[in-house]
Amino acid sequence: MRFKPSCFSKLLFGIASLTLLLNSANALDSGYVEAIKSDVEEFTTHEFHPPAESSWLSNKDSSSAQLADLQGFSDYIRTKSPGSYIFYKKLSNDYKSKLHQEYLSTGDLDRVKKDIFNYTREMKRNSRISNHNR
Amino acid sequence: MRVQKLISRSLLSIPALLVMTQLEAGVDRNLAYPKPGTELTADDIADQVYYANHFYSFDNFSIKRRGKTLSVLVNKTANDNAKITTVERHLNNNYGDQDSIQSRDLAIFHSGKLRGTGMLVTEYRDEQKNKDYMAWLPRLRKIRRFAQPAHEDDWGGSVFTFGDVMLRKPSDETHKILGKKKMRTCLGIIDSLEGKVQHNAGRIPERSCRHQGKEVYGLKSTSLFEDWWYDYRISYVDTKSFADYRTLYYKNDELIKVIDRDWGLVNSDGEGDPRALFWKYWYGLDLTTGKESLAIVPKKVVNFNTNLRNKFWTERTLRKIKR
Repeated sequence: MRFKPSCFSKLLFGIASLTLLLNSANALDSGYVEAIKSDVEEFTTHEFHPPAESSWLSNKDSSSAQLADLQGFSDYIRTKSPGSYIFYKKLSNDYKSKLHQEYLSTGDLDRVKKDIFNYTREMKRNSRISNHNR
Repeated sequence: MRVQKLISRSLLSIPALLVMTQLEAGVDRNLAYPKPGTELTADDIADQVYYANHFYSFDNFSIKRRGKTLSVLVNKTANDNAKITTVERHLNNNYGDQDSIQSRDLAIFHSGKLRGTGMLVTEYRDEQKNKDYMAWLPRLRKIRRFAQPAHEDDWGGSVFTFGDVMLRKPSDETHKILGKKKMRTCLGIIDSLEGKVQHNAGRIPERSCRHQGKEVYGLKSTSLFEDWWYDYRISYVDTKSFADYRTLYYKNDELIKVIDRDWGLVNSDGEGDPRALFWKYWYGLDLTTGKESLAIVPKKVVNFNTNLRNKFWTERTLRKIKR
């Protein structure tokens, strides 16, 4: 059995519309609205009651990054830039904290990656100088 | 008639990056950053938010084209494909105290139906004086002037209104502090575009979670306009930088709209004015229609305090725009 061109285009249009509808439903049903509602309620109740299993919250079960602490930031670098992480993990905690604060204020991951290499060079230079002085 | 139609379309289609040069008496470039330990009132916070949103820390601020990279505005209706507009924008605050001009904002559109259209918005020091809106219409090769848009008009067909992005002043609302707390949630993003590559914006950002844990003021602002489209809005304002990360709009105590803004410090050395910020992206969700908007400003297109002279922000530049 052959489709007539008009039937076929109607079928395609139907599938496309259904896909778009499903996509739009995802945007509203992703738990975002529930999460922000529970967030704003904290201003009046002074207690935070997060919805269960939301990817928009910073709880341990969430898939979102725990960027507020250094460990979470380290995990984030490992996931987003495994190459840079090889150098990052060798840095001292002072440098790591500096990178963490930089990322929190700028949100510029490219800049953080550059600074990982800059700090790595700086650390090597410092250790060479201290060895030389000994 | 046709010209008028074109003008009004241009007016209503200024996308997300034309933005915020408007000034008012009381809030200008001289507004000082509060001294540590100062107890701020709700009005003080609203003024500081206005200062940050209008880039008053900078002499000039440009979101310019760099190769293929441009800032983009994405509009996605509940059952429609995403529509994308690209735009270049240049803002100038560098006018002397004696100058009648307070600031000028130039936007040039690079795609969509508005391709080749330029907009120059002039703000005057005299609060009574209307703002000048001039548009370069590429098909006519002419400049047309038009009246200031209404606060509630859509901005570039987006979820954002002209009031949200440029016209609303602190004096249009009464303000009340709801308290301080930590920001708990990530900022919103259009799910279907998150992390995907777009021709002009590069990789579309993933939801921003880096503001979680930051201390924010809750600022409730009630509109003074009668029968307005919202009764009040609640903003999350950073206690240090005065960046407003989120604004929730309410009508009859029902949440009707959300705008999230991901802010980044321009000076990554962390020195200087904490309010010297730029937007990385804006996300808007209209809960009544399901429509979403996303305005993205890639870091590499941001320039500030450049040597551009004031004569760049004139009609002459508009006339030079290529068709």
